Amino acid sequence: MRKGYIDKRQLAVLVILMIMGSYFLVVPRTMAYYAGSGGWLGVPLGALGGVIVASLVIPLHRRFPSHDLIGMSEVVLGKWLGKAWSLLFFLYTLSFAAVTREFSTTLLTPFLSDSPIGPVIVIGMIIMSYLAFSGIESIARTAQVFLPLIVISILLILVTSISSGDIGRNQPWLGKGPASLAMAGLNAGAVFGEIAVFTVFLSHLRRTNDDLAALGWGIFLSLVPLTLITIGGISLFGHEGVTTLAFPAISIARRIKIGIYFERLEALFIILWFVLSMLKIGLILVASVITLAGIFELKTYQPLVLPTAVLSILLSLQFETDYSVLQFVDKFTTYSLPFAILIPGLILLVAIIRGKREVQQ
Amino acid sequence: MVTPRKSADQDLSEQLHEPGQHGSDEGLSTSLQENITAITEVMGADNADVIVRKFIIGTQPKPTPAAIIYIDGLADTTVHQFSIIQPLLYLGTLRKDNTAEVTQENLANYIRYCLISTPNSSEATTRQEVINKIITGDTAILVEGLTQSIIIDTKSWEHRGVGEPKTEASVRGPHEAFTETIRVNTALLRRRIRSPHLRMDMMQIGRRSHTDVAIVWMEGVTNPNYVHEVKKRLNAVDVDILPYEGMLEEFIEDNPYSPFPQVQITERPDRVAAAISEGRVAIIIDGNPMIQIVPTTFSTYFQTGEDYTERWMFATLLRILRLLSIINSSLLPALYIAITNYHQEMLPTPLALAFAAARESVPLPAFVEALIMVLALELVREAGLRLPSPVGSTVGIVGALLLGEAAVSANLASPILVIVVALSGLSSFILPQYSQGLVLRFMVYPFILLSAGWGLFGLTAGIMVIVIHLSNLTSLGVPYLEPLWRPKQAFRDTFFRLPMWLMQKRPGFLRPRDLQRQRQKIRSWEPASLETDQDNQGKKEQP
Repeated sequence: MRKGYIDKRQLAVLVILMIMGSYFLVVPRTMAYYAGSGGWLGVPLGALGGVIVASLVIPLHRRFPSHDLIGMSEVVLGKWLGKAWSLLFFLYTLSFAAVTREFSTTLLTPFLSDSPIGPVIVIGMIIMSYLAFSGIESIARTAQVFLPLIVISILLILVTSISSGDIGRNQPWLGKGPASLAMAGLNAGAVFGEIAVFTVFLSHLRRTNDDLAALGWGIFLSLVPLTLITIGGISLFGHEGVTTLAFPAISIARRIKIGIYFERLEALFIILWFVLSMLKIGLILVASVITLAGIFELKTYQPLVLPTAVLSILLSLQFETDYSVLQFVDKFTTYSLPFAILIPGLILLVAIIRGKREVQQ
Repeated sequence: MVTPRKSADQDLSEQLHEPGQHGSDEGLSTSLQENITAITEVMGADNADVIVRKFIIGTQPKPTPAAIIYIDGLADTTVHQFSIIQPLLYLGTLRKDNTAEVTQENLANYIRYCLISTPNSSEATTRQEVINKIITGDTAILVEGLTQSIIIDTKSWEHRGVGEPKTEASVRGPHEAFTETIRVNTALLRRRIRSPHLRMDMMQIGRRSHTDVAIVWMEGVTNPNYVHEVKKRLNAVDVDILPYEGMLEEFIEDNPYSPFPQVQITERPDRVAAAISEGRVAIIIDGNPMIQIVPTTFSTYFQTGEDYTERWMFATLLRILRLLSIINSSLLPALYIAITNYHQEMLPTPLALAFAAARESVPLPAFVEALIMVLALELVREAGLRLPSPVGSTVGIVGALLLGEAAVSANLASPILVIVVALSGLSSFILPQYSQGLVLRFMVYPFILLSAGWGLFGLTAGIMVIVIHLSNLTSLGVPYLEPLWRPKQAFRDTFFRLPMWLMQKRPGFLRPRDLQRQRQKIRSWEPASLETDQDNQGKKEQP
């Protein structure tokens, strides 16, 4: 199978997709839940988590420019330990895909209340498997096609929230104090830490040294709208009101009016963010099947896509109610940060100690 | 001319007819009669259009019998009369060079260089070669005692003249279109690009048809990898006859299971010339007025040649219009169904009421209604295409009545749906290439079903699958959606059409050998006011 190549800009888009894909919709709620009116500060604190993960992922990539995670860990940790470590990563991405998939269905609940959920899951599965099947290059291009729409939707939501809300509701700006801010930061940090998945994809970069710029811009360009939407959400609903909303960003979208004719456009926004979460699941799924194929030393990962997708769907059906998904999303992120730091971190540490690096040809 | 083929399957290739194998591969004998018999045996002794004309060349000391063989209708008889038979009959006695004897050895050269007065001649030594030349329209001269035959280029057959483009009419651009004859087509291109670097690599495809195919590209501009790739794929084509260029497309495209055409088709020489100058490769197939251009991209869906003849602002607006009509033609009916069935709240209240009132008397569900109307439109469209033109307009009127008035008054469709379907149908005609419109037209049906089932969610799922598919597609290795994610190029000549003097570079995604097309600073002069100039000149002249 041909190895796809992506450039700097595409990688940055994928990083933004990874961080904001599902988080943009819920960030005001989680931030306000942990830090009250100081929630806006949680996002930049969380971005530090992203920076930490990036500072592990980038040196690792520079050491092994053409290896993905499984390749690196086998070289560094030895064959069997490396495979075991990659299996851990596979489980991480699999559960991650499961959570995001369930999240995407939850997103659709408002206007799919009458239809059976089965076909909806099957349609979602077809899309995510097709994305994963097509590979990283295709996902990047598809994301770029939808990018203008996504930017417009983010701008509309931000402008509406900030223009019709009351910024004063963000006071006191530091919220409930340092401890609560740290909790909020940890939560946001877990989301930013999701870029650990890019250990698999960095080897697809056309130029090795573009990794820093792409990850940096990706983190920065996600940080700004996430901070602004938190401020906007709190100024519109107050930090207590916003914690009662499932998807604050969609609630803001409900208030968008263009002219006097176009209103109640939230269906369009839900659909758009459904597209985004599908792209995100596709991305995670590719990472997990590439790793699985590496573990079993298969030539191509494509035969594994459908079984893995089914597996992640079965896993996601463990959630009983929509609310439990949202609750789990909050918890899962706290579990995910140690994973995100540990998986590339350990490989990097051992690589430094053992002095392993890729032999330049 | 015939390219050697290597079949992977040796057993199979033994049973297959090899191109260019007619009879035995024997050399010509010295006996004229033997040669004629051998050739007419292969070509069929009763063949009415194979003409053998025998005559005697008055060489000295003794006259030599000879014959010409040609196919009536393919070869030019005036050339025969005045340039071949006349000189051979009457001038054979002349001694052009007094010192040299005409001997058996120099007879061939004597005929070729001293007697025949056609511009193009060559020699063939085997029967097969001679026959291959004759069937392409050349004339073979066989002479007693010679083991080679003199081949005269006499190709000239009835063909359609250069006419107006039928499917890509233009208001201001040139009104020439390609014809079915490959030589005319190559000449049309040569006249537009008078560069010695314009390459026309010829090859023949078709085991029995021997169809001429020309690969046109520009040395120093086109990336040689494309030319190499096209030749590789064309060489691998194994087909009996090649009457339609569409057949070739199926052999050489990257993704044979995709509904999207991965080869651009045009009948306008100016468009092909522009494409070649951008660094693309054109494929001309003899017998077809449509020229294929590879690699192609999705942007050809909203680009026409005429964009470059109109002012750039309007060309840009027209491109945006076409982009909208792409969305319109494939999505509008589905969007109507999704919104009326699932998302009424998105409509402004007065409009929603109007929709509901219009649908009140229609007993069918919206998606059945839409399917009926779209199908009916398809019928009118297809009928209009096939019927002779006088009847065609009648069909148009009947169709309009059937679709519009009658369907509404029979409560089969709501007036709003009629508008929606008509708009989407109209939009699909805007696209510059027929096969592109075809894809979008047939995408309507799955979209209607999806949005009938799951509203906007289903529709989005469908759109996503199409977008992923388009992201996967390549044409000759170039991603199909290519310049869309390169903002600079996308704005220069994809969504927008900037002024010509700003298009200094060729599209970079085609990886041309020479990226720069024009000088960087073109409009560097100041517009001079002619009035003051004349006044100044007048003053200077006075003293």
